[in-house]
Amino acid sequence: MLRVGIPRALSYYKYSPLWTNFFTKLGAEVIVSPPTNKEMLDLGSKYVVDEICLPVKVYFGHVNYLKDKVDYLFVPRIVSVEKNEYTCPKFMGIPDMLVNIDNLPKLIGPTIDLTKNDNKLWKVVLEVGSFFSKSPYLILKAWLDASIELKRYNQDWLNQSFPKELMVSKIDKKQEQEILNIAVIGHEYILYDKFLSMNLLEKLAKLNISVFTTEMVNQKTINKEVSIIPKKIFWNFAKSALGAACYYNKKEGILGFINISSFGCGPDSISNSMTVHQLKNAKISKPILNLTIDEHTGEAGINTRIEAFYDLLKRRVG
Amino acid sequence: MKITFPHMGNLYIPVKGLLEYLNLDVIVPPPSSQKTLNLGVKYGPEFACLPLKLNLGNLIEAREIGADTVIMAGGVGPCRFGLYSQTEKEILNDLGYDYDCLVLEPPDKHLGQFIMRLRKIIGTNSWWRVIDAIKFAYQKAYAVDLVEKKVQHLRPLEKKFGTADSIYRHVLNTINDAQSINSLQEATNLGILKLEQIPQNINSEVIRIGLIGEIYTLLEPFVSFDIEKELGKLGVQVTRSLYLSEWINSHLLMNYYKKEQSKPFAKLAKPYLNYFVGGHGRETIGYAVGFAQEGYHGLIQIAPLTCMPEIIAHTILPRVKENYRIPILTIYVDEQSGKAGFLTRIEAFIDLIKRQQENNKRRIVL
Ligand code: SF4
Ligand code: SF4
Repeated sequence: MLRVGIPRALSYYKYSPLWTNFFTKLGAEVIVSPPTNKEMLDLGSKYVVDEICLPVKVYFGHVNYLKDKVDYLFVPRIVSVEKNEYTCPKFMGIPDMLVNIDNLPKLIGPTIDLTKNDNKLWKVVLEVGSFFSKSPYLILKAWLDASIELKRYNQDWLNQSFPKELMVSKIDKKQEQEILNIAVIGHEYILYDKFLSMNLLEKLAKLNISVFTTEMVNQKTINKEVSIIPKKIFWNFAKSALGAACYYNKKEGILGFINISSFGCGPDSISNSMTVHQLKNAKISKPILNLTIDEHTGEAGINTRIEAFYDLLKRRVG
Repeated sequence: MKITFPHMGNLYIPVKGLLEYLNLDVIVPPPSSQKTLNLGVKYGPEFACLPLKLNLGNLIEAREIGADTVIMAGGVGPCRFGLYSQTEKEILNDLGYDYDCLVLEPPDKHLGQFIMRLRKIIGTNSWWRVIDAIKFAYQKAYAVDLVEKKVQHLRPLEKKFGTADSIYRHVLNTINDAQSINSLQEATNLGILKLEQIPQNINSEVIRIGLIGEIYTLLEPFVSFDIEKELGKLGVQVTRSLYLSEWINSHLLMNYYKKEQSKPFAKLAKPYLNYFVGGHGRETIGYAVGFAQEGYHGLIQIAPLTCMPEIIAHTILPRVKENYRIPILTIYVDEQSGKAGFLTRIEAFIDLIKRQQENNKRRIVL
């Protein structure tokens, strides 16, 4: 059986059920790298320049982990998943940068660029599937079946909970203590990577804080929220982050925001500024805690800031 | 209506030429300075890339001297530049600087809107006049480049260092002041003539360096600590991957003017970088390969810290370095960069290249 490696980093968090199920259904054995740890980051960092953002370093760590355990590595170049919208320039350069790692297995690195023509995705699916099957029918069927899994995954979020795959602990609503609701804005691959986010979600759960994220807001609402901005936000994630922030700002019961970004993140530097502007100009404005992480961020410092923020919120509810 | 726009090196010369040709009132912001930077850092997003902060500073300074309308370029991604105008607009607004903002978005989607926006700027001028104005602006940019290339050539050769630069400054002013094609041509020819008369050291050996990287840091001497001049002092002849008129021609005029360059260097990025990554990332790699093939002695990449396309290029450059055995230095700049550290790094780099050249020569002699 052919083994396909999928790095547990970057877009994995958005598409994991789609990818794993697709390859499994085509008869491949899927090997996903384990959750990020310090060693993986250190090994990954060797292959990239120091100045690159933490999530990309981590991605390299995962690829490095997988490289001699699989026959193929699935490392797509995800340029765009929606018309006229982009991911991030770094996503666009990934396969070209990966070549820095020696002794790589064969790469399955299709380019996914839906900026112009939506139909091209099928071509990509067939291209990737052809590594495992000669039958376009079987490939497309595997894809459709996998898409259903993805839909379920996304629906979990839209039902205001976390997909089970992410293993995020929920707060126990039966407890007597009151629950504070806050919105947490940040890339999935930071927020749901316990190493990168320093267990942010667990920490909040322990404080009896219930978390609402970008993924829990549906696309229609997001598009509506950002429509007041005259300029198109051309980064997919930044658009959602901004739209979700505006939405949660208005939503009753949400007490404040935590923004988590990687140091050196290009899109976030802009979208955070735009978010601040929108929130400032809205009638209601809720407190924001900005967390910026890099490899030198100390967990103690983060804890103190979260606790201070928690106290602030508590005082506000009175 | 008093129109201003953000700086980027000599860009003010063609832009001012263009707007004045249309009889518009133009306020050029004071040249970018430490004060400009301080303003941008104070009011701009902490983690934004350096050009945004300086642009913001320029616009604040221009407002203080009476500008009320700003022209900015837009963009459709994937790099931050496309959202600069919106971000700057919001910040200026929050600060209470009310500006009329005219953002020139690429016309691929709303051609009608684009023309309407243009109309707002050009007022009663006829389209013919506008076309003439664009041509005039391009000629100015071209003249600037012509003179600048000459200066780049002369710096390491002149007997008394600084002569070319003082003529250069003067010629830039006369080009800037030129009101017609004729006076522009006169200014340029006179400038070139003066430069050609500079006493030169014969037989002096020069090091040839290709300067690659992000457009703003390549074109704005304030952020690069005048890198080209400093390299000139060290006996280096500099060629950039990007010149103002070439950029205007390929990005704004859809290559209306024929390219002189025979080899499209950007295409050489393959197989190192196979996809567009925003900004000038692909050009950086392509030119690195091109310069290496043409026998340049070394390459310096310069970019704002956290610049996404250049970080990608930086990650890929070691392979170009290996394949062509060409030394490469990457320098990032931000508001915390200091000139001293910067100079030490380029001096050490040039020393290394000089030593390498010596060794090579010895090997050939033996
Ligand atoms: S969006 Fe930000 S964190 Fe993600 S890859 Fe791009 S720069 Fe890095
Ligand atoms: S190319 Fe670099 S400096 Fe320019 S907008 Fe993009 S990230 Fe910023």
